[in-house]
Amino acid sequence: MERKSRIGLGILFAFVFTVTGCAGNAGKDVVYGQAEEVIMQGVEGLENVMSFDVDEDGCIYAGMTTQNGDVCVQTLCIADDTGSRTCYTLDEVSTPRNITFYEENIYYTVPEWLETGERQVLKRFCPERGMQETIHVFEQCSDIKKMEVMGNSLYILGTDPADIDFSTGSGDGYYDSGEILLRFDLQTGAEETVMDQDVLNFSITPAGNLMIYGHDEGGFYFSTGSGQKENFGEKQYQNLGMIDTLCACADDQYIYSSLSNHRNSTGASMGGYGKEGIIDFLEDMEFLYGDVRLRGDRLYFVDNRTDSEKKGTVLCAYIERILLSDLNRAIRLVSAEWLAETPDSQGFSMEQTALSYDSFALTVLSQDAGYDLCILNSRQEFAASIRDKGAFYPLNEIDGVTEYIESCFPFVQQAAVNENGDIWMLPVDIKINTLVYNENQCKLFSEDFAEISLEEFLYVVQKARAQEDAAYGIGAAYYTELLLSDYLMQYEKFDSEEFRGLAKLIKEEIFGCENAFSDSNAMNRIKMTGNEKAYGNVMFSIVADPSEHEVYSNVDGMRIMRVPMFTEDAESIVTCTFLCVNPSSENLNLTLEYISRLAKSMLAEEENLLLSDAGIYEESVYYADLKKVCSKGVVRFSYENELFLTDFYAYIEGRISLEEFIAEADRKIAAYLNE
Amino acid sequence: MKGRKKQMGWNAKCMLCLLPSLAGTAVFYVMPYLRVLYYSMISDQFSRRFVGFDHYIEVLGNTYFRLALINSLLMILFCVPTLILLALGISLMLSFGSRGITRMKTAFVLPMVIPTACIALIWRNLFSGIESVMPLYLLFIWKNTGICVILLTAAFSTIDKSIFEAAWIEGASGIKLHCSITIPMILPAIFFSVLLTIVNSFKVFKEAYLYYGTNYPPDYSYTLQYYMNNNFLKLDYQKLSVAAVLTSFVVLWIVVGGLRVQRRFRQ
Repeated sequence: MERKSRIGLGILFAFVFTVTGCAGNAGKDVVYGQAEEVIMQGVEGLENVMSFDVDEDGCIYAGMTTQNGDVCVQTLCIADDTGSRTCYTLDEVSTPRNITFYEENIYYTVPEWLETGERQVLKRFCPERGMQETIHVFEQCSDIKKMEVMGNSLYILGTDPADIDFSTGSGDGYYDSGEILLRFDLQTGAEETVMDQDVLNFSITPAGNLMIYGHDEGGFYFSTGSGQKENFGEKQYQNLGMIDTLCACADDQYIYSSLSNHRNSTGASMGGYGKEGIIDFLEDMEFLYGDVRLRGDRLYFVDNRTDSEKKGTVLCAYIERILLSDLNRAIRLVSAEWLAETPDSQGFSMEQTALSYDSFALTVLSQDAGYDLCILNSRQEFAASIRDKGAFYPLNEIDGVTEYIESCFPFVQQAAVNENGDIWMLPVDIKINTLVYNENQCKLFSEDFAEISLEEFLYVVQKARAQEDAAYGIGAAYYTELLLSDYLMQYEKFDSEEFRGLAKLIKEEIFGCENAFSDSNAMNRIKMTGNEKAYGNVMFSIVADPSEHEVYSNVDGMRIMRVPMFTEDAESIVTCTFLCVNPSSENLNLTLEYISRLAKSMLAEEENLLLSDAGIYEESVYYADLKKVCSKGVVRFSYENELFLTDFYAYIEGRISLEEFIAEADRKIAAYLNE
Repeated sequence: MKGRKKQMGWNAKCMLCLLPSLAGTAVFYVMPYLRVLYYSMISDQFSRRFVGFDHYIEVLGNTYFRLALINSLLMILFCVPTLILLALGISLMLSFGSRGITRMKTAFVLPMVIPTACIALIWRNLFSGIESVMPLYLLFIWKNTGICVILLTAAFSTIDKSIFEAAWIEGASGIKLHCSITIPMILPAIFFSVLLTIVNSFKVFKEAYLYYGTNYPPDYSYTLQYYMNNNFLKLDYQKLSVAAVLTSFVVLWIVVGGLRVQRRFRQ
């Protein structure tokens, strides 16, 4: 009996062990979307194109506004692929939109004021006869977003701004924009409503079907059909948000872009029913908008790159082959508490989740395969633990990463590589604490303001406080944290004469001087107005954010120096935001591909402050100063603030004495370091 | 032969009935424990290099682990006997005392239902300025006496009244009656209360954390839970696992020791 019980228990254990044993990480191999070969060329003579269409032979029909002296002239231009160009002047007040070519005629829409109000009018232009004529007036909509031809019908996506209803919004970002999908039969002149609600966009597929993107109670969806209301196929739910541009590559594949969706912040993305991908060649496109046409292996779109010499030209990209991955999920990014910095998506779909500290620790330690990347910054207490406990996927072998790291400042390289030589994180942003000062104004305090000591600087702040209209920004709490961090970089404990001096200085000179160490009233007024020119009145301010540097760099006479610290010739403390790859991620291949693209993209970015030879540092004296400060930076991975900061403020407020603080803080730090 | 078959059939039925409970115990207790044991013997979850007892040596040699262990054991040494004696006294009063006292039954149970956060706040105000571990001990005793009172009172109620009558007839009364008859009869309940209190003493982290408001309380209050929690937050799963395993050995040693004492006492 006992023997049988033991056998029974043994079988039970074996069963349970097998079922609940460590599961391996079955990663998927991913084939991601990429263009095999890309050639982009502009079409000569087409500028400021507002709308265009392309026929099967590659001939472009574009609507433009051209200048004839002081007069704006609405023009239709036909440019074929031999480079030959013919332009026709239209007798129109507004620029022709929704250009569509069909059977030797060019159809377009223009707004006109009629008896019933402003309406969109469909017109036809015949190049052979050089004549334009009105075909139809759309009574149901006052604006037309899109028009394409299928068979002998025009499909029109119209909207009436008066019908926009934000109250119908759902949690996924949808709101009723009042869109309506119409069909206009070019032979009979009959107008028919295909869909009068929930339709957001559409595109005609190469096979001659109608792909729509809409929203219902189930969320955003795609559906493809013959164009008749009752002939749409099964709805494919896919949340792309409120997309702005849609171009069907096949009955179940598409190219899209969306400004309102965080999924792609640049260029465009590709997708398919149940699939997702990215488009390589549109990486440097700010945004794909307006008309997009796919003809065979060529994609036509308008060049909207700010720096492009031919902004507004129609570009043509040749795509040899487009592959889509069998992937149905986004890259999942987790952070310990919400971080304002989010990395560029590079056209990938990204989902970010903010977790509490405890949940984050649990997620990492349990090797949860449910996240792909974690984003942290060096001020968070986990940051160094991720490195020290090996909770990362080494990025040394990932294409572009080593090159990127080696191009960064030495302090970034030092932070990104652990003692074993592994690149454990990809730095995406730095905030380096600097003191921005107005050279002319600060000369009144000291001839060599850039070399000012801490005591002198505190005195300067107090003097500035006495001036009613002085604009400066030095936060007491933030400055105190910097000073304490600076101290802890040199010393392991607070029990020292140096610290006692520093603590007394902070208590008496920073917190003792009422309201001196905060944004002055004048500074607050400048920030509230948002007038960038007003920043020229700022005397000095602690600045770390790159976006603030951008503002100050446009102001004459502003310089940068390191923040006056306790230690002479101290290194500037840098907060680094970085990405770590989860080694147990289900989407490891896709995630590593994203990391590779991000690294290459950041390497090519001239305004990337992490790069020691970034072009931005050559732009001005201001950025040259910043480079000098950056070259003496250090990424400091923080202790918990709780270890000493709360007690320090208790000392500042007089609730405990300095000796009590020192004893308590040193005890906690010793426990933290040695437990 | 027939009898043996019958016995086997009965045993099989018993096993079948026990199976769900065993499965649950295996899945939610045994398997996680084995996994923790495994984690305590590898370098980290990511590279999983087997290191044997290196972590154990490191943790046992760590000053703070030893401090935490000593503090936890001191808590048991001081709080458990005090709590049991107090609970015993209260239970005796409730079971054999006047009606007025028995009406106060609810008051002794109340500490169990008051939210810990409220208690911690009151305690901080009551004992502010006292630099000692006594507030924590008092909090623990105050909060956990109620459950022991319930258990012991229930145990008293199971004693046959005729035994007391016989003892009275024989001339026993008062303290002698309770020491010779009452307490020995409820010894299993006392033993169970002792075990429960010991286990609860290892769970006092919430109260301590709320009372001290920090992950690094004064050294005299730094217990094993703090050590484990802080290592968890530092993502040091190995030290956490080792501390958990060692704690389980300590508890097991105490329980086994207690069972042996109880067995000897019964004999």
